[in-house]
Amino acid sequence: MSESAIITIIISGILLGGIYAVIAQGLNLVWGVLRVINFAHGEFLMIGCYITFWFVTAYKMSFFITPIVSFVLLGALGFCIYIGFIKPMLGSEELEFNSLLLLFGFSLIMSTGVRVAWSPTYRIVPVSYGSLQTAHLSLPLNYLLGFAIALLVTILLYLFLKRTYLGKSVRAVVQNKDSATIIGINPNLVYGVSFAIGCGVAAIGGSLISLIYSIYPDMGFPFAILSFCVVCIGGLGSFWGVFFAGLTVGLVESFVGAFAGAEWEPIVVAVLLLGVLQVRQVLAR
Amino acid sequence: MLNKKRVVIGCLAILVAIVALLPCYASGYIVAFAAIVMMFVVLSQAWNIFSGFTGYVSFGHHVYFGVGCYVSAILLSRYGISVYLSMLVAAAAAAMLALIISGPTLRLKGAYFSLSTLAVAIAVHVLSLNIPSLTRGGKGITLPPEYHLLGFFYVMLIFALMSIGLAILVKNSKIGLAVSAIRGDEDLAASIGVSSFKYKAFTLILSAILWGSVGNFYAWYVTYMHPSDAFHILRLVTAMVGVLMGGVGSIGGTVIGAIAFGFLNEVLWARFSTIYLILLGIVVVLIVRFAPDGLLKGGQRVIQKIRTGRG
Repeated sequence: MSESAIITIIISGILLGGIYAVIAQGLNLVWGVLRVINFAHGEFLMIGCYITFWFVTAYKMSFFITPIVSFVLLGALGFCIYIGFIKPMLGSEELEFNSLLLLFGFSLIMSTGVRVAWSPTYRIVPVSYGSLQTAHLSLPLNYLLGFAIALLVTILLYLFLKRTYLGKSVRAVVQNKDSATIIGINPNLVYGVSFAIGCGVAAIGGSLISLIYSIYPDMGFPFAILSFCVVCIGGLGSFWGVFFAGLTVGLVESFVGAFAGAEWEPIVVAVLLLGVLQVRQVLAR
Repeated sequence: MLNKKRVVIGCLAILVAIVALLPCYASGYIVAFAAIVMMFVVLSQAWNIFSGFTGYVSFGHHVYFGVGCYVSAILLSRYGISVYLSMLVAAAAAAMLALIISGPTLRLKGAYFSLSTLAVAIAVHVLSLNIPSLTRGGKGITLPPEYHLLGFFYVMLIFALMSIGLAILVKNSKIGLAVSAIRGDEDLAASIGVSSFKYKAFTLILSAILWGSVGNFYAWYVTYMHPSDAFHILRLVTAMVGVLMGGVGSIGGTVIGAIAFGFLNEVLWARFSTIYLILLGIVVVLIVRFAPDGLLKGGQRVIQKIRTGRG
């Protein structure tokens, strides 16, 4: 394989990895703050894809508005799910199992709802910005655009957590919920906002992914597993750990796709996940 | 002396006899339906033996079912082996797989365990698509097209009774004591000398054998197998919902829950096949939200609330 082909694989892997990192950041936030694993993470992403598709095709909107629309709509949906279903079970002993099942139920509802409403056909968002041609490589600008927005969202999320009052209270609640409550932070608000932002970020990831992949109702689930894998590699609660883990997983996928074929990617992700968990277990001992 | 236990056992024996004689007086549809409900009972009970007893929630049990399906599909279609012989191979394969998986997963806790079992199940599913020389990939395998309703019905009945018997045996043995200690507090159990890995692995393998054997007969019964049927996650969900409706860890509750869910499932599927999965999702959400410890206990709680409210 020629050198320029390798460079193309590396660059597209990193660009894809940046989008994976944003998607995983949403799961990281929800899991880190609420100790709840959003099993429907992939379905929020999938609906983000469909929102982008419909706004671009039916309403002739510019692509650049759609990530914001997805974030707002699905963030609101996430907040409603939190208020109605997750808030009452916080603090119960079986929280981990019950929330997993609950969100699995929601993932069934969402993916089937989309399939019934809009049919299971594969769709492509008709947004293409051509490709970047240099002497050594040709790179679709869609990848570059997706990565740029992903980077922007990552930075915004980081600034939110570091600089704003709400972001600081999120971190305070993670560190010590009782002390945070004493100094006047409302943990319920923090939990709700974290869950909403987690879902909204997944939806932004969906808008970006729809630049690259075709979309269909069952597409979400692999992304949930992938995000879980990325969070495990990067370390739960570690912002930059998850970011670089996303890039790594993107690179690995890109190489596996090029050398073994895309159909082997899920197997590699699973092996990677088990391997990382083993290493972490040994290190923790 | 007619004590309570004997009455219960007598009633159950009569119930089993009524079910066993179903093919004599009921239509084929009822018999097929009963067979599938009993399959739910086996799968739920087997899942309960591992996840309910130990507290380790497996999200990857459908992999054992799929392996069982493929063992019988390959052996029956290529070598013409009897399904009862292939059951032994399917059970052995499922047990082997459980043994292999147990090494890296059973030391993980909570959600890490659940999601890594799921990742393994997905990997095996994808693998079955990627090695067409063995599994014919997405084209699927056609088994000898014979009508096995009666055979499937009685096999499922035997397995249902066997799974209940095994669950009772495990629960009342030293193993049951050990796993319930593990469920309560694993570190504490280990500190007083319970070898937690051994007991977890034992119950996992037992439950994998049941899932693999049922998968073996399922492929024989439906006579066509392809990866997305064999490794369908719905099989796991139906088993989990059965256990959840009955109450996690309870043997009788699981049987009742699985049967109740079997009826609900049939009604939903027959009436609203297009939005079936949406309704299933709503059922899951409502149970987890309002009766997370099983419908029986949830119902008791409601009754108690009404009583105390009045009194």
